[in-house]
Amino acid sequence: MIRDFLRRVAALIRKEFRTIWNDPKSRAIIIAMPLMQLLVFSNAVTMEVRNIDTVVLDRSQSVESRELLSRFENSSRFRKFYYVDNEKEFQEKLDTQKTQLGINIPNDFARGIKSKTGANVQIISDGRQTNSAAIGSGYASQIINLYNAELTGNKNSGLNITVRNWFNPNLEYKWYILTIIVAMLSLVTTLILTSLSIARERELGTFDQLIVSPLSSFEILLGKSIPPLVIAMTLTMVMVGIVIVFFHVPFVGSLVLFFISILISLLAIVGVGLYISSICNTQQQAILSVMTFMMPAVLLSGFISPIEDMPLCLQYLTYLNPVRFFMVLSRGIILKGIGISDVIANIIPLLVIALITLTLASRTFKRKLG
Amino acid sequence: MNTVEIKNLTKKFGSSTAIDNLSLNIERGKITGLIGADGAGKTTLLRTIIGLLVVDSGEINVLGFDPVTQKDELNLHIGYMPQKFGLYEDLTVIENLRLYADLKGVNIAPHPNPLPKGAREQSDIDKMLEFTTLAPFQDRLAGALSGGMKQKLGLACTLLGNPEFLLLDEPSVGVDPISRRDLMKMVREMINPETTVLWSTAYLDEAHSFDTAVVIDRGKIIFNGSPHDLASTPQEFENKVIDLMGGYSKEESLIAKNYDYKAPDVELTVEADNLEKRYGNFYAVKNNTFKIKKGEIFGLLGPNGAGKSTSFKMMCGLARPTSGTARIMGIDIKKQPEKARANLGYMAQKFSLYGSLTVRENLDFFALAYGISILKKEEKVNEVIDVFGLKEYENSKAEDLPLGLKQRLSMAAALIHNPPVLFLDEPTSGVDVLTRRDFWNHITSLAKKGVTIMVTTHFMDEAEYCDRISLFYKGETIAVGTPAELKQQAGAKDMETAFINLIKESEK
Amino acid sequence: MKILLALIKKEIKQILRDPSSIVIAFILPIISITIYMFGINLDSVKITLGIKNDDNSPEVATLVKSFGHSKYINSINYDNMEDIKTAVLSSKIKGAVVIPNDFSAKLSRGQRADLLVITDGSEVNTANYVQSYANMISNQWLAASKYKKNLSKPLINVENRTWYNPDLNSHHFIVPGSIAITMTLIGILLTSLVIAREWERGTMEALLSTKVRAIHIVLGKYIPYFILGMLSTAFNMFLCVCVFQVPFRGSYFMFFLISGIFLFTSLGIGLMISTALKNQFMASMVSISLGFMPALMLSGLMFPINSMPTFFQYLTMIIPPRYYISFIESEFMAGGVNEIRLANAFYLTLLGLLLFAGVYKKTQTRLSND
Repeated sequence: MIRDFLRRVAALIRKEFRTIWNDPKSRAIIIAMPLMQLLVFSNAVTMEVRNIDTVVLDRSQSVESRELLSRFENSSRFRKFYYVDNEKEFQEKLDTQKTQLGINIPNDFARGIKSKTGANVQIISDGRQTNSAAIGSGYASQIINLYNAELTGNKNSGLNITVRNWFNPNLEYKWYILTIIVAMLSLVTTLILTSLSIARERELGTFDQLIVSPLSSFEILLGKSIPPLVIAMTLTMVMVGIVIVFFHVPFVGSLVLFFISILISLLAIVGVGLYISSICNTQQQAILSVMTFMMPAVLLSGFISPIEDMPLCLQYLTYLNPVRFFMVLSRGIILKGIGISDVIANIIPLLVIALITLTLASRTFKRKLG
Repeated sequence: MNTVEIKNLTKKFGSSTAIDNLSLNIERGKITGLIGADGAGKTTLLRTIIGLLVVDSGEINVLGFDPVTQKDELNLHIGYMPQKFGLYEDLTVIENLRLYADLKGVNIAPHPNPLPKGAREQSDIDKMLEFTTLAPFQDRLAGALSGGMKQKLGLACTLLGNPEFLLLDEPSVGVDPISRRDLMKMVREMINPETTVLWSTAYLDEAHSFDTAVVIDRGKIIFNGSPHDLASTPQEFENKVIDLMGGYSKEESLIAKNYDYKAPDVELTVEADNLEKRYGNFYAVKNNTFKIKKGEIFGLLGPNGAGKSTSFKMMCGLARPTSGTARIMGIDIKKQPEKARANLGYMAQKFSLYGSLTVRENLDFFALAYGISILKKEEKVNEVIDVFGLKEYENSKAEDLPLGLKQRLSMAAALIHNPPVLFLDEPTSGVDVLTRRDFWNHITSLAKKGVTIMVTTHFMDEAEYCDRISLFYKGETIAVGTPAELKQQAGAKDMETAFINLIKESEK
Repeated sequence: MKILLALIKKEIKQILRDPSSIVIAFILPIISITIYMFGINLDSVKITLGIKNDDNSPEVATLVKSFGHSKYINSINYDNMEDIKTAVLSSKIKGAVVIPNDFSAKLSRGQRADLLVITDGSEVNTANYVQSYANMISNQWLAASKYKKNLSKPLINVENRTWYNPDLNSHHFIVPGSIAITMTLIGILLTSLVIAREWERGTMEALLSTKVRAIHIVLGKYIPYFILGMLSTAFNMFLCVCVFQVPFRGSYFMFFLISGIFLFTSLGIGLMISTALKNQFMASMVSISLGFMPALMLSGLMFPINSMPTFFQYLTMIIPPRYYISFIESEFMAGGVNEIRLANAFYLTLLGLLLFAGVYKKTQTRLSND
């Protein structure tokens, strides 16, 4: 009995591998696409604001104003400076996005400093990119405040705020975004692999032949889950390896826990993919359904904005979202080294999702028969 | 005057030669039949004639055009119906016709409304609808048509615009005898004396009725002349063609010899018990009851759309019956579908193996999926590859095989695990005449060994091999009996006439 | 012309009969705009913070209170560092503020008082929020407390202004950005399957023996999907402006004109993939990897292009959404800036024409040999 079962499942698994893996073009696409994206995105993407181009309208033209501006010029965050002499040009540089920041120094600036009555500086940021605007003007204020402190010689009173960034002392953005990119790429590959697998057989008419064979729904489910799971698992591990070796992201957690967590996360995603596949008749429907699932799932995973900041109903909705737990686990184990109890707390919802979707998928196989 | 002149044509795919130094003239105004074994190069020849494929060497001239350089000009004068005709299954019948009419620049202006009484100012589309008897179905999606109706619609689309040169690639595959006559009639009546037709077919009775027959084998012409010169009757013609193709000698069926048949303890191995399938008010299958004995060959005959495939699907658990049930080896297919199917080999009408896998990989998969042990698998797969003549193709992708070879592969996959019951839905459609004889040799030998076989076919000569036949029409059984009984009942000499008579009778 | 019309009519009917394309064009925008509106928030994010106060002077209690009352912060009090560590590990809090026992004493003496801010560095985004919120709240508290007399007033007063989006509402740029994502999906994903499908289903062979020429096939695909895409754009615009009241300061004519050019370019990518890969699995894998993901990651919608390394900044030049995002943000928030319109329209047209030429050249009117 059990030998027949294993033999049948093994046959199906081998067939699935062959359909994906035999064609050199499709093999190349499965390997190359995620790796290429990993390399490009990890090098390119950052939330940090660098290379700020600035337009300066210095009406003071004084030693003091030049001293202030030299602080900006010496900062590594700022790149190009355009000195203009009228409002119109100032506005044009911002309008056309040639610069992201504007510094406007009024003509009474030097007088205000010399007479100790105070002076004004206007910092203008481009609200079309709200995030960069906030960060950019933050940097500018910081530079000016330092200059302020120097001018007043006020070093004795006030607060001495020490910041300690746990798990990532220098707040390397790369460490953070890499764990997310890896999770996203595994998600995309797994979903495409699984969602097309049954829909393709339906579209081409081969699914009937599979149903007629002695393979039970459960066996078909196993045979359809394992190959994408193995491919996605291998791919994820390779990507994590690259992230650790080439991008020097520290791996502080337990490798065993990590392996188990990723496996279960991918299993839940395989479940979602197979369920989508089982309700679709054509590959087009499958791939478009995947997008309809993936867009909200990624947006509501907490990676773009924190879950606790969402309205309550959306917060509850995220409990159905495997991507949320996947991201928490991969980031948590790699960077924070979270322990077994935290891992379990995040694995349980994933297991529930996997169980529900896989059961639904295997039931739908049969219900879809005319 | 020739429509096509071909000199020393050669076409290779990789290392295999599809067309080998072939020269051929096709006379204007004649119907030429193209006959040949599976993989002989028929489809490749048709495709090169209209420029869909570019030749490696040799000269082709079609209607004064060179298909290699003047494909666009040539397209205006031809009608080509590929084997898998490109109907848009998500468009309706009339939408498909209108689309192809537009693509061919045919006038489809609807006749002025109201039409003067008795006016015959019909548009081409109306004419086609009337001709194909598809008018009542014009708003049905093409995908929902039966096989025969699809072929009629495909042919109608091809005939639009009165092309000077008509190329038809096996238009009658999977079409019932009545629809086959309709197709032939359509072509003969829609063309004018100047029209040239090149018709590739596996039906030798069809080919016998043409002006010229061209037999090709391995990319070479082995006969070119009037079919009547070769033989005076269709039956004789078939034998002559078989001789030309190397002759058929009936040998002991190796499949049957090595078949590991375990005699079941039930006598009635297949039973259909009031099977019924209803879609809304429409009965696809109505009150279907029959019992098949161990070792019997039971034929289901009937026109396209009569409900044969639906019955098949219900009996192997692919479609859920609205009411009634079926039993295989006494096991209820509704209650224990997996257990019942374990005794079953099923060959679907539509090719349903994995196109992207090779022949051998497909067989490997089905062998293991059906529970053949890993040690025995190799041996078993080698055996079926040998017997079904797939050795040469074992490493080709299944989707690249010609139709006939795909059918052989499907048949091989269906019986690789030696099931005691075989369901074969049109196993011989699109298969060459030699292989068909070989198929039936295996089928009858298996039945002798005790295997129960339920089969459908549109070749009426094949119906003679069946022990019993159930004639199916509009979802209902209209006659059951041995071939002799049916012929007697219909007062006909051959099965084809019996088939047509019995159906006409039930119409009344 | 008649032939083209017939092909277009055919394609439109097919689109209308498959619900999945309608879902992508009209349902997905509703889902994603709703999520962007209510689930995503990139400014004034609310986070949970731990507070450990070792100084029991009543004055410091008001500092703890002001953390509690801040609308940005959800504060939890802790007694020991161990608990804080556990809470950070399990992501219950995103950081903590630790007030040492000599805090008020130092301030009374006119010295600098230490304040420790801990962040969860594994989430760089929120870590930055923790830093700046802690900074802001404690300094505000100090300025209003009884210790303010020890502080000297800064000489330079920084006046921060944000143009185009004065209250820095991130929805004003992320919601229009989602239009670009939807249009990319329609342009690339939907069309990447359509030519592949005609080959897979065998309809191409019949088409190729009629009067149809390559130009008909190409335009016969471009035009219907262009219509679908523009309808979806209009619908998106309706959702943005009428339903969700995102301010639009530009010109509708320019918006639709340049959206049209962008769509033309996206369709080019999708059709290019479809003609090159006659297999739906590979086509969808490539279109998501080369079309959709870069639109999300490299277009400047989420991550500033200016901060990327130079090489990757050049790389973004071949990504059409980059130009469109730049245009759409400007059009929505700044109103028409002709220079931005012109530059982006120019590059989009150039890319679109190149792709069109490529698709036309690659469209075969014969069967290939393999």
